[in-house]
Amino acid sequence: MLLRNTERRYGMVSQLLHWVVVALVAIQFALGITAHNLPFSPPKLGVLAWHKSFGFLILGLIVLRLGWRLYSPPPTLPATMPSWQQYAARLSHGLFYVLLLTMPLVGWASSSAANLTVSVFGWFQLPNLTAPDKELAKTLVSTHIVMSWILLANIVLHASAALWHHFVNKDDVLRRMLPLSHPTHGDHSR
Amino acid sequence: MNHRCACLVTLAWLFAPNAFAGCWQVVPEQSQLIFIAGQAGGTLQGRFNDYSGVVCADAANGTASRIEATVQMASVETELPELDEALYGRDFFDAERWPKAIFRGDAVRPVGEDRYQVTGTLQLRDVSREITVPVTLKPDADGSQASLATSLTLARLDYGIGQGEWSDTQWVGDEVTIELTARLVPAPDTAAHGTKH
Repeated sequence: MLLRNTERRYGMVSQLLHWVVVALVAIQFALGITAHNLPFSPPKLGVLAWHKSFGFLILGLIVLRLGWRLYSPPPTLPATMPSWQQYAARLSHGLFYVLLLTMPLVGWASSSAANLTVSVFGWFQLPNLTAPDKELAKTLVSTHIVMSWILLANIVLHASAALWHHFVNKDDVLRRMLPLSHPTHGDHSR
Repeated sequence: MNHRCACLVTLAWLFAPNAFAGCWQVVPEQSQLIFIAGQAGGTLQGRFNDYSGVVCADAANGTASRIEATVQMASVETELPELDEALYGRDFFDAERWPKAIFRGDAVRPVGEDRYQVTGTLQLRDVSREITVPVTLKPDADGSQASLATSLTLARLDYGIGQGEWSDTQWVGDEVTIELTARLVPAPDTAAHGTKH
């Protein structure tokens, strides 16, 4: 498998970034929901500390992904795909980028507004994005949570569409993002 | 400020430009009392809104005859309401049982221009400990007001602040820094005891 994307298949870098972010986002949902349901306590602070650290990691990886996408454009969507579906796919992918960039920033800002500095895995502290502001802190946390619901809906849409492509359409769309599978119609390198 | 007090202050200034005479009190509206604690590798900052302080100095030899600061613990405020609630509660300040923190200074040692080391007793919750704090006390050029700055770092567990699960310092550090930046104005003539707010 190549590092770069081809017309028919995602390369190793895109696949790695995709699946690592999938795993991190799953972890973030678990941490975020756990923290939200805990009473104010040391374990809650601990869970939030991990959540903020992983969040910053996701932010960095998405920036890398965006950069990589500019350098190595994704495979073209199958010609058999109706244009409304292609449009929906592009919207959904675009929404992922918007959410995965904005959510960590909103979370980071909510800490700043709460007059808490964020430490990334205890390695370094992030600068404050806003001045201390109680009302803003509350608003930003709520915004972050609402965005997570939108993200979850987008994930369900995205995963469902991938499975539909694979099992109903029987095309290569899902296969292109799977590390160990080969597209049925052969690879054409750029 | 009455004329006698003004006269006293001016005299002190004329004869000893760095001396600081009479009783002076903190103006909370022009002051700031904050604390900074470590949390999860970062920091957390909050403030106290209701506090008072008085410094009385002897005009003749510039020694302090009284230094006292009182903080109403229930006035703690951070940007997180659930944290404020916890701080007020039994595991932290237990402000219902111990509504005030009090510092009483016993000795003042000048260590430089406008700088002093003040030794005294700090009572927080049910614990009293002797501490020494650096204080910068600078009268204004016209001597009518003064500015005071002090910073102290204490271990919260020394005062029982953080009971039960909160005695663990993994996510909320033991060391807390307290900073007071205050404006002082001459206090109205006060008796030996009691402060005016």
